[in-house]
Amino acid sequence: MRKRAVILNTAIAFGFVIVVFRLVEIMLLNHERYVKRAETQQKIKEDVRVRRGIIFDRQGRELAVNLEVDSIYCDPMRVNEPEKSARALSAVTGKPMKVLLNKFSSEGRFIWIERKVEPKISSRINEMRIKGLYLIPDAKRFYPHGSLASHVLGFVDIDNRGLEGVEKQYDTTLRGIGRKILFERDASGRTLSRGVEMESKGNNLILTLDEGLQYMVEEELDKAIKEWRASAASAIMMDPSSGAILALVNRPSFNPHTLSDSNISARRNRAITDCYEPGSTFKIIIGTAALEEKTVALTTLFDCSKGYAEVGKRKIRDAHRHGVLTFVEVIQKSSNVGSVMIGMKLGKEKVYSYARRYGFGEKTGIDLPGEVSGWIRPPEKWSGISIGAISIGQEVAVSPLQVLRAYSAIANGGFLVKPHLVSEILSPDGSTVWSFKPERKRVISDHTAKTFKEILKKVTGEGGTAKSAAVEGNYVAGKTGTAQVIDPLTKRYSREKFVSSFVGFVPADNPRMAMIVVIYEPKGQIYGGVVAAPVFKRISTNALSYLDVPRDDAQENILVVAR
Amino acid sequence: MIYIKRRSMVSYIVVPFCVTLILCGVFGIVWLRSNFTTLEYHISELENRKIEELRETKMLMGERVTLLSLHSAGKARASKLGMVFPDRSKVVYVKEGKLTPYRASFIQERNGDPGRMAYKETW
Repeated sequence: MRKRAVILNTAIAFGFVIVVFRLVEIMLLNHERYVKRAETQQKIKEDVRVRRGIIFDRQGRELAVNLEVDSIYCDPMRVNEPEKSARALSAVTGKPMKVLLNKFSSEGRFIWIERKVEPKISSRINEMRIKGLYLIPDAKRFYPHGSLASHVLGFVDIDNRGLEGVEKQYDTTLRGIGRKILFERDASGRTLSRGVEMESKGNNLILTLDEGLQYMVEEELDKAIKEWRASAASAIMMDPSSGAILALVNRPSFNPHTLSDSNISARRNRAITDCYEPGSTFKIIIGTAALEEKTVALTTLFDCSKGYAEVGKRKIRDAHRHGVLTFVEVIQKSSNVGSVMIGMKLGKEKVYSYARRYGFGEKTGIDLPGEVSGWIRPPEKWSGISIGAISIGQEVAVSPLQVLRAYSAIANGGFLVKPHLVSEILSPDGSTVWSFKPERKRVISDHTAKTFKEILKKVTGEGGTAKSAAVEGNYVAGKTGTAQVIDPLTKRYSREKFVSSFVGFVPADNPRMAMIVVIYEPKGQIYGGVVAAPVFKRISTNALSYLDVPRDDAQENILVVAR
Repeated sequence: MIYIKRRSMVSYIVVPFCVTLILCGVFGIVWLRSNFTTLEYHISELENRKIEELRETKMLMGERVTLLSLHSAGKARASKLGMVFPDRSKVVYVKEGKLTPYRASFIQERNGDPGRMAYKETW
């Protein structure tokens, strides 16, 4: 009996010793190895979803947002019946079977089938449960207003990287910061709480653009293109005191959702990337320079009765013959002869210096990619006729934005402002990360600006070239431009192709907006006062209502009502 | 001499109590841990649901913005809704401050400056 007890006790003790040894081996000797294995099984890494920041207009209305969609990928090694799977997938996605079969037979463990599919397609694929085919959450950039402000907003590529416009200029700001997080799952694959936000958002942008004003300008420019069968058009509306761009439109345009439907020229932001010879709108240079330098007085007379002025060996002619004009009338009636005389009085050094003062020949610094600086040759490279040509806006290349900025200096009392599109950058939680600080530098005196403004008001009044720009109830100050285009074949000025433009600001005495309208190659009529000025008027009439700007005579005509 | 050690009343209570306490403690720890894990599963399910709801919300918000845009509404506004941009010549400014009642009339005169309105005050 005692012997059996001893044997039994020994066996039990031996069993416990083996268990203890095994525990020591697992928990102490091989501890690291088993912990690593457990982590591999239990913990998985997942990418935090990176979402691009939202772009808002100045009133907080969304212009660019993100939609949550799925992208489809396959693991070729896990696809069981490639033909059957390809057939089923082809029926849903519309992709050719051959393409899908190629993907199923590719090397690798991660092959994209289709990126950013519509929700109904992804839900059908989910239901089909094809082995080896998986859905991965993705974000698709969506522009709710379609092609509205497409040149300003730009677009992104398949990986949500900005390629044009504000999307490109502020790409780093808009992009969120990607990272991976580690979290636990159980044996059946269910995950435990991640404990952190699974979305990383980029910063949001508040633009100076106004959706309502943008829409108005686009509508009117579409009508003008149709009416004049023009090849292209641009219009920019800006706050002349701060440089905030309220609307920027180019035609032809494109839809950022269907880029393949538009050609590359439609995506050009002509307002800043294309140069043209400004024509009479460039007379702001000689006009303000002459006043600033006191070379002329308002009543100085210029004899334009000959109808032409001789400069070097060439004659520069007026579109219509005038008699003797005052300085004011030279600008009001846009006399080329008078302008050449003023330019010759000033001299080439002063004309060039004032052109550079107004920012011509350099970029405005607007926060959009692709801006050109235009050009104006330095005086030492001028020919005998250049003083005359440049005085009337030839032999220089400018962008519409540069011209608008120059006229804004008249509107705001003599300051050159920096045009900009983004007023604020907000973090995802709404706090301000950055806000624009207006920059401006004085280019002409306040007195010269006010004097020239009065002259520009006459341009839209009786006897001026832009009566059709006059807005009911408010005074408009502006200037027309009708410029010839160089024929690329003959290298001479074309007789058929012109650029018609009008640039101005309203209300003249307390400007709320400055605007330029440029119509390229209109058919039927060529003059800025006939083609572009009415567009300015129609846009301004609606815009002033929208902005709730009172009429200039509001204080005088007040209705007193009965109680 | 034979000594018989008698156990006291206290030892009959303390020992079982300590054993019970230890067992309850161990059980409590296991139970709490199990509850935490259950909660983590539940939170994870809610997180997944939140992601789905956010997805749906973003879709709806995108649709809403599109429908409310002037671009979409613009085509319908004139033809179906009869909406036009306001005519500024028909905007009237009202002066405040007069205490006695007035009967006002509204006379439109065109004195070479189209759109200017004159008023006549009577009482």
